[in-house]
Amino acid sequence: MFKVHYFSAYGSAESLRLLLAHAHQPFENVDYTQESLAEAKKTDLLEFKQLPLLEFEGKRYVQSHAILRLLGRKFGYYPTEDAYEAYLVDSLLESFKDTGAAFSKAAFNPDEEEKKRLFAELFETTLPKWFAILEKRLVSNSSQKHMVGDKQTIIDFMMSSFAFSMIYNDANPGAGVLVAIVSKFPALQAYFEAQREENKEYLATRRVSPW
Amino acid sequence: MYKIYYLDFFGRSECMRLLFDHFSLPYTDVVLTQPDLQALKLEQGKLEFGQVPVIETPEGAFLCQSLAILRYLGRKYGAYPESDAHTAYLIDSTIDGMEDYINHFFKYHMTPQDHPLKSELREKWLSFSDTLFSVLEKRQPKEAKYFLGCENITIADFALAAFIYMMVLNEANPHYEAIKPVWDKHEGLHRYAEGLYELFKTRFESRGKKPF
Repeated sequence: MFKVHYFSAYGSAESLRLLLAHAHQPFENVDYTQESLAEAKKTDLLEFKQLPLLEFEGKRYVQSHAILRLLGRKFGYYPTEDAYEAYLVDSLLESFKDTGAAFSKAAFNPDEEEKKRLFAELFETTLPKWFAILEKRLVSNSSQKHMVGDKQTIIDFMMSSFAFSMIYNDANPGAGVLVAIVSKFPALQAYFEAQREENKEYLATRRVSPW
Repeated sequence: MYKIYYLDFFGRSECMRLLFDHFSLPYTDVVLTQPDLQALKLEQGKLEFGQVPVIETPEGAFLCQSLAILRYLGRKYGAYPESDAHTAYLIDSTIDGMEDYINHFFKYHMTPQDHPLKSELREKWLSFSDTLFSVLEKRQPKEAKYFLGCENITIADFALAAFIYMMVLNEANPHYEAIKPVWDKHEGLHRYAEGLYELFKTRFESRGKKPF
């Protein structure tokens, strides 16, 4: 049984949960609060003093992207035999860090004026630019239901995690703006619909969370 | 011949240079000024994400995102042992750990001196550094030449060599004085790091000084 250690939220654990569910691998959530995380940091449970952590077969794994790659190799979601196909997956995965950084920069800015400006930049420039790249990738891919190749890969779980945590999530108060931006990118919108279908069993039964 | 397009830093391109040197793959550096970068962004099909580094392969393909490039080259030249799942995981999580370090470092570095969070960010960076070096020390067998005691060089060695000699053991780095004592505590890493210096001596001694 896989154990996913994280907060009771989607965050950086959700791509792992989506993958495990898709692969029909039962898993248990081990939930942390800020307090229990502070306690855990005092032990040697968390190698980098961070969540998420995945436990299985007596071993512990940390760093969400490393875990995603590990599970991807194990369950056939990472096309590593073809260096260029793997590159197409890896380059999209890496591009998340810039999008994530832009979100964090805006969300955690203590100055109200600056925060407003950063969110405006995110919604008017940064996200549309990134979505345009994703749109281009989809249009030139052999399938428009997957980002790379004809079947589910780790980048699809990462994209789905993003889509169903931030955009198509009624519990996220900021979702409306994002839905509107995505609607300008038809292939991307259709892709997210296809991923909703691909992951529907898990999406129907998972916990509600605003992030 | 490979071409690396980047700004005038070691930064996210250095790990690729070390790989090219190790496998005796000729390459050229196209060092961009800001105006050059803006012009390149307008050319179709070169900067997919509008960013550098990108490499141009001998076949004329443009590849972007430094760690995706490193993995691509690693697979191509036998420096990414994915057949052993646990070794691949340790390589991947080590690379992820270095990414976290870079985030903490630049968050601290880019915050103005008079900002109220400046000293908290410094603490977070230094604390994470200690954690990262502890992880590396635990993972690296003392007498081994390559990271994790792998038989052959891997992308972890290229990434670690680039990282250590740009972010830690680099007197031109703006925060060298702060990080050096943290590094000194982790003696188990010193021999490995010295070995890396020897491996890439030609590059390290000819590249001049840059802050990172």
